[in-house]
Amino acid sequence: MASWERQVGAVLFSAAVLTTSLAQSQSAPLPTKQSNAGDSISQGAQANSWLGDHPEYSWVQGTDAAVQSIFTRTRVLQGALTQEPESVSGAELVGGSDSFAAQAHRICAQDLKPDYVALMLGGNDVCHRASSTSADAAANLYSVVTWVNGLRAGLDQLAACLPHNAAVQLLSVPRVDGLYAAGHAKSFWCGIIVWPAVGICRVVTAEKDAGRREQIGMRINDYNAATAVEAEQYTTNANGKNPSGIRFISDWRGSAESGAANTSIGTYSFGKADINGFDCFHPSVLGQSKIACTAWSSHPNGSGTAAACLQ
Amino acid sequence: MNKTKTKNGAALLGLLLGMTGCAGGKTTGDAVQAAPVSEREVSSLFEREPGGTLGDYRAETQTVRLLGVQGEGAEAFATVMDTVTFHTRNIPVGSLLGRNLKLSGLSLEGAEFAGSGGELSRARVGDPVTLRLVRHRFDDVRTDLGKHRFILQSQLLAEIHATYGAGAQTSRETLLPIPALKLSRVDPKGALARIGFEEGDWVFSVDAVDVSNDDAAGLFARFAARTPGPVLVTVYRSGTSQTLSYQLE
Repeated sequence: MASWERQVGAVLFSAAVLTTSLAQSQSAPLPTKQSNAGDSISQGAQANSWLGDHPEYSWVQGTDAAVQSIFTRTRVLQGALTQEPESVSGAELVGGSDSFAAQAHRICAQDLKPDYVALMLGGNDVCHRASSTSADAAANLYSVVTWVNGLRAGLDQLAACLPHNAAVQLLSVPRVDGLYAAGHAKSFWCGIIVWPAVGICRVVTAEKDAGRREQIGMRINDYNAATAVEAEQYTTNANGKNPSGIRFISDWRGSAESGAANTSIGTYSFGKADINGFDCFHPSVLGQSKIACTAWSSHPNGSGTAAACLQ
Repeated sequence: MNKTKTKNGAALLGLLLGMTGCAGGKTTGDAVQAAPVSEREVSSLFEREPGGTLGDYRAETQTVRLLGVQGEGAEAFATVMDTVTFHTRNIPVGSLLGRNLKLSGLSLEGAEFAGSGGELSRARVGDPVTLRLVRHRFDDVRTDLGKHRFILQSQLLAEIHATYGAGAQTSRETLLPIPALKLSRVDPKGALARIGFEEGDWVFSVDAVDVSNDDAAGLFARFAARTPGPVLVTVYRSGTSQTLSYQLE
């Protein structure tokens, strides 16, 4: 996109955000600092089809006008907004040294605590697991109990350290099984050359059986549903872990299979233009912009609908 | 999940030092406490280093939380989180925690550990548990700080290399179409594994110098030849490009 197009687009976009978000911004306090926990998607990896992190194209921390990230959109409303991201390429929600709990620990260690935190983790929790040799393709994935315990290990810390007016937005995990179809739609070479060469998410990209790929997708649905339940438990302080009244917001409205397609990031079927041309897997700049738009629709100061973003 | 167990029928002993409350999942702030180990204990460890002295080993108490268990049969594993660093490991049945504890069985309710002295202990899913883990000083060669940042102990690395070599099979390949050194097999005891290289890694550069024409020894030499200070490694691993930042000490 030419620079003038970006500038014009940014001005028009800013006006639209100001207008449509005015009502919400008046009811929800505007953040002054944002942070995030995430993985390569939040790092904008390969978004422009060049290998490596490209945070300027990230849905949450990006600064490029083509994406209109959460940071960009919020800054239209709050000019003093700063950010201190903690997302790390390769991170899982549950496992490793950059788990959600570890990233939450780093967020809580920041000198100035953020009053908005976005979470989008989980793809690597699936993609890093070995294919199962049993009839259940999801057998080697983290159990929902493990997922919830890993999630709570991070949420407990955020509930304890963030200021009382803070909001934590929990974005649903994209269905990695759906990316198989997107890759095949994008190019014949994605399945034949690219995925085997780069070794990406072989638990689904090497799985020829559609039913088994769907089993993996169903587990992601389970993760997303469990996350939504936890968001409610923390927000209402039903679990007694959130006496400060921090808001925990989930974008999950139910699974695509239950009729809630395109109501959240986790129910969107990515298309061929939504994934990049390097690894045929990570979101392209367009894909990042759709994630940003969708996340903004459930952001405490945001506007719009997921359905409109994901057309 | 099928229950997988060893036939170790020894009585429960003190490996499981205590079940502690962990309100709100917050770290209890337990510092890792080091203590000497006896010659008898070292002699019975599941994994020892060749040569060395009793002083090369020490015991630590570490509080971990069993986040969950999953997988079936030989693919079953437990997920365990350090309650201080929040680093989380997946431990297949039969694998070690420290050098004295082996994950010997899993059920939906929890995990069972066999001690190298024949003891048996259990942890329930969701609960924190304090374990006594025996470590060798080689285990301290690399400290993982998170966000792809590490501290490497040069002297220990040299000793490991002298004992086990670099320990990897490599080939020059291109990753669409970037030249890289592909690590096709990595010996977990070798120096490259201790640095943190993994099987399947595509290593592009060390301090911005192309390493695609190196072999395992050449890659190791780029660390061994360095004076203390930072080393940056670019690698493609598990579907993402990562810049690993090492501080040699």
